[in-house]
Amino acid sequence: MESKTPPINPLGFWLLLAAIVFFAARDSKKPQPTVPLVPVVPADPEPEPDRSFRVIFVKESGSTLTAAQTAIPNAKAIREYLNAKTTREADQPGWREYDPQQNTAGEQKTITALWDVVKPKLNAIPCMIVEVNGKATVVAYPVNAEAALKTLQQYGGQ
Amino acid sequence: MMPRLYNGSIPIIETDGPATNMSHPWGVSFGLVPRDYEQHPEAMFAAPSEMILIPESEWDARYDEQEATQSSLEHIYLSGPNGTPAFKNLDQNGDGYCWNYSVGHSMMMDRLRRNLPMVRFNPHAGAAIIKRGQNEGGWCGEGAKFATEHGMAIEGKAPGQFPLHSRNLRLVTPELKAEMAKYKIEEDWVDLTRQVWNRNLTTAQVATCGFNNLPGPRDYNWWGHSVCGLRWVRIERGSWGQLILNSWPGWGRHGLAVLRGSKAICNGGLAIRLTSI
Repeated sequence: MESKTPPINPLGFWLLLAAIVFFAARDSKKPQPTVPLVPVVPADPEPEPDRSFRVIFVKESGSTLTAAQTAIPNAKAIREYLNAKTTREADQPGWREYDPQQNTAGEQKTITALWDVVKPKLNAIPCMIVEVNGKATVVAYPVNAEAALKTLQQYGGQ
Repeated sequence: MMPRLYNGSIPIIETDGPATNMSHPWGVSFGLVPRDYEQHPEAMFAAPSEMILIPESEWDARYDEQEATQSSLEHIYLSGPNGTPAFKNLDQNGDGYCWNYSVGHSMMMDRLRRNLPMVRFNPHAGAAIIKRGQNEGGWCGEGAKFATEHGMAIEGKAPGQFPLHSRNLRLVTPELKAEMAKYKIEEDWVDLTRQVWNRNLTTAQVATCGFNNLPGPRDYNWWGHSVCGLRWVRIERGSWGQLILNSWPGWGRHGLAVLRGSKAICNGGLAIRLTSI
C-alpha cells in the first residue's frame, strides 16, 4: 500500500519556524538557574585569632642614606601596604619612623610598649622592628623600597 | 600672565621676575621683618658639621628615585584621595605671623612623614606670646627657637588648645602651656651659634634636606615672607627649585609652589629632623 505524506503548507512551515525562533530567543534571556560546580561546604565557624602587625623604622634623623634607602618607608607602595595591613590604634595605622632617641611621651600605648621593649636591644642603626602577634623581630634595613616591601610582606602577608 | 607649572599643576615663581599676582596677591599678609643689615650684619655661615651633603652630581639620581618611588614630601603631602593633600594647609589670616606658620607647617610635615597621629597646629599662639599679642613680623629662627623651648599649640577651643587666629594672651593658660610642651622640636639642623635672624642654610644644605625628606621653615627677603620648604625639585634638566608650602588659603596648588633660581635662595632657614610625639 502506498503511503502518502500530506503536503506541507509553505505558509504554515514558515509560521512554525518563526514561532520556534521567537520562543527560543525569549527563553535564552531568562535567568538560568545556577548550579554549583562543587558541593557547598558550610564555612568553618571558628573565628580567626586576633592578629597584630606593627612596624617601626629606626634611623638617625640627621643621617644621609643612599638614594634607594631614603625612599624607605615613604615610598608610595610601602605607605599603602602599611596603611592597609598594620594594626590600627585609635584609627592610626601601626607603623612609625623613629630616631633612636625618639621621645615617645605622647605616643599611643601599644606602639610605646613595643618601642620600650625593643629599643634597648637595638645594635645596628638603621633597622626595622617588625612585630607580629606580640613577637618582635629586628630586621636589617633593606637596600631599597622594593626589598623593604618584600620583607614586610613576609611578615604581614600579601 | 599665567605662571609656568611644575609637574603640570604647581605654579613656579620665576627667578628675577617682578612681583606678580602669584607672589603678591591682593589682601594677603606676610610678616618677615626686613633685615637691617647695619644692625644685623651678614655673618659667615658655618655648615653644621654633621650634615653629610649630597653633591650636585647626585641630584638627578636622587630626584629620579623620589619620583620613581613617589617618596618625597611632595608625594606624602599630596597623598589624600585623588591627589588631594593629607591636610589642609594652615592660614595665617592677615596677621604677620608667617615666620611661625612656616615652623608649624614644618612640624606637621615631620609628623606626617613619620606617620605620627596627625594634629593641627595653631602657630598664632606661639607668635602671639613672642610678640606680646601684637601683630608683628619676625624670623623663622624666632619661631623655631620658641617651638624648641616651649612647643607648639594645637588649634581648637578645648582646654589646652588655642582658638584659630586669636592673639588674646588671656587664653595663654597653664593648661595651654602644658599641652604646647608636648609638641616640641627635638632635633634640627640649625646654626645655634648665630642670632635668630641669622640662622640660615646654604643651598647645598637646603637641597640635601629636600632629598632627605626633612622639612624646614625658610625666610625670603625678596618676598618679605616665610614659608615651609618641602623639596628640592628639578624643573627641567639643570634647573632646580625649592618646592614650598605657603600659609595662604586657596593659593598655588593646595598651598604649593616652586621658587626658582635666585628666588629659591633663602635668607633664613633651618631643617626639622625630629619633633616630640
